[in-house]
Parts: sequence; structure tokens; C-alpha cells
Amino acid sequence: MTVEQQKQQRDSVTPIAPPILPRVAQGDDLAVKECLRRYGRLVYSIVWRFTKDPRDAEDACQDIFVALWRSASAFDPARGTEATFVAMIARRRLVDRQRTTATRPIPQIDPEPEPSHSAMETYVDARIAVAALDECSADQKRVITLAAFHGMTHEEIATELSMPLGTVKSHYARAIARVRRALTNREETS
Amino acid sequence: MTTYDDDELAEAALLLAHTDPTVAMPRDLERKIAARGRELAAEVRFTTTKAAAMSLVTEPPPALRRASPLRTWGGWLAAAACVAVVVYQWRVHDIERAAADGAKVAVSVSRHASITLRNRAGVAVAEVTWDAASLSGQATIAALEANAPGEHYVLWLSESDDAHAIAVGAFGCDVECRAKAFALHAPQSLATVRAVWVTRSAVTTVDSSPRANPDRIVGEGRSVER
Repeated sequence: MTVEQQKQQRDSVTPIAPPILPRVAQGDDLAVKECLRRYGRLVYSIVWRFTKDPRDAEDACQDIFVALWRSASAFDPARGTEATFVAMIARRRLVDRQRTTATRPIPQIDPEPEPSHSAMETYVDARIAVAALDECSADQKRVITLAAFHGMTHEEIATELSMPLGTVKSHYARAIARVRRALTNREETS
Repeated sequence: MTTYDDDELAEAALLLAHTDPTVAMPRDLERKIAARGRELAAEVRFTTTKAAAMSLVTEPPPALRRASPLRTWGGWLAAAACVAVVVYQWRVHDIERAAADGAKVAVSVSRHASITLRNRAGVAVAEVTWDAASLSGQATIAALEANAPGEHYVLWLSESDDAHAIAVGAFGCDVECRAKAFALHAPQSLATVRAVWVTRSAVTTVDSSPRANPDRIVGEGRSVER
């Protein structure tokens, strides 16, 4: 995707509400409530991707929001949107929980997951990331999908895909660099 | 402080793209999380803002500054001189004089501060009490008018001057604030409080210092040691 195309894509985006996390970082109780209202569905939906156990999902959600509020001061709007930051904190906590669970459930892996129509409409970073992913090879897509959506390590991906570890690392590095570059270019041209 | 890199953000953006954010959180769970959030927000916490963190990183408070070798030795020499003077005085002065000197020392090291913040007209708008031993205190708002839309008040504390002030938290007054109290807790780096400010600010901006915009200072005060 060219810079011009990215710019057009950005210009078509609905205006985003001002970030709430800087206010959360200052201990504003109304902001904490607003943060939960704004990102409750997103966090719960991400959690639901990682676990189907309601009790586990409940614990994970509480864990994520506490982590989010405590990390609010680290949010840097120059590096990405607030929704992406929230997704990153959620993913990080879920992967940590997953790795510390003794009996780790085998993830139900969708080899070619479709982007969410609703997410693509709502989040500009989502559109840019998917556009960059579309330019990756099929193997690169499979590798980064397992890493990003399921929190799998390179070794686990190598086993899952019956692929040499070095190849997995190489695919991952190229794919993540492509997505990262697309997001960075968007930030530079905004 | 949480840190993250661009690869982690890129993975999160992909996860975001493939997550349908339409699954509603159960009401009970939402209430539980909201209650936990209120607990967290109830405490006006220290070093929670980026401005505060940057202030600490770039301008460490005097207590954290590394002393030069000259100053270190100067301290020892001064201490030795003091010992010599004290021994001399102990020998030549009476007990009452020594007791009086001791009382002065006790006052000078007291770290219990009570600070009244006044507006430009000299009217008290808030009071902050601070106990260095427990690294905690309380802020009580005496009278502050309601915030303008999109604004809130920010409370700043400092060990010395405004250059080292830390934004410890923000609070809103939907209507006029009277007798509203907040508990305060300190980071390890803030052993005592000597100056306090309350400023008005837009909820979306974080100033680097209370004097970054002097017009927005609604109250300030200096400690009176007990």
C-alpha cells in the first residue's frame, strides 16, 4: 500500500474520541468508568478468543483492566491508537496467563482467520495491519497469525506447522516488519 | 513503568483486526471491575502521570541527586566540626543551654508538614497534611469552584520548588467542591513535602510543571514544619 493510499484510508476514518488513558493515569474516577465503557466489549471479546471458560474469562477481564489502569501512564499516542494499546495489554496478560497455566488448552486454530468487519470499521490500526498482512506470503501469514492471535512461541509454531524453527523465525521477522512499517508510516504521515 | 515495543503493538493491531468487539461483557462482571476501578481511582496516586515520571527522570529531586566527592567530604568535615563544637560546649556550658540546643535540632528535623493552599486573594482553598514517617497524608479541599467543561484540577507536590513538582493526581468538581478529601501516598523518592499546588487543566493535556501555565494555578502553599 502506498503512502497516498494509507493517507486516503486514514482520511476516511471517523473521528476518534480523545484518549481516555491520560485521565485514567491521573486517577480520575470518571475516566476509569469511561475507559471500562469504551473498551469493555473489546477486552471481553479478546478474552473470549483465548478462553471459553466463563470463570477464567471473568478473572482474565479483571486482571486486564487492573493492568490497563496501572499501565495507563505508559500509553503514547504518537506510537499507536489507544485501542491498539488496550489490545496489547489484554494480549500480554492473556499470553502470560496462558503460559503459567499448567494444563494449557490446545487452541482452536483457524488457519485463515477472516478480519472482523466490525473491527475494520472501527479501528484504523486494524485496517492498516490487515492491508499489510495481505501483502505477506501464505506461510508468513500462518506464522504471524499463530503468534499474534494465540500467543504461541516460535518453537510451538514450528511444531504446529511442521516447519523448521529457523524458517518460522524468518517468516515471523518479515511479516511483523511489514506490519510494523505500515503502522509507523501511518504515524509519520498523520 | 510498563514498556512496549513496536512489534508488540503490531501483533496487537493484528489481534484487534480479527476480534469482533461486539461480545458484551456480563453486567455482574462489569460492576465488579467498575468497583475495582473506583478503588484504584480513589487514591490520588503519586508518579502516575507521564509528566511526573519525566520530571523524576530528568530532574531528580534533591534527595536523589548524587553528591559530588567534595560535598561528601564536606559533610564529614562539617560533622567532625560539629562533634568538636558539641564536645566543647558540653564541657563549658550548663545543662539548660545544651537542652535548648537539642530542642532546636528536634524541630529542624521534624518532617510532619501541614500546608494551606491559598488563591491569589489569599483565601484558603485546600489543605494538605503530610507525614514523612508513614509517607502518607491527606488533601482536603476547602473551597474550589466547579470545573469548566472539559477541565479538571491537578494536585502537585514537591520536595523543593516547582521544577521538581510531581502531578500526583486529578479530581473533578462537577459542582463546587467543599470538604472533599483525598488520601495521599508517596513514592519512595518523596520523603517530605514542602510545596503544593492545585492547577486547572484540560482533561486531555498533561503539563510538565504547575508553573507551565501560571494563569491556571488556583492555589499554592509552602510547608510550615511542626
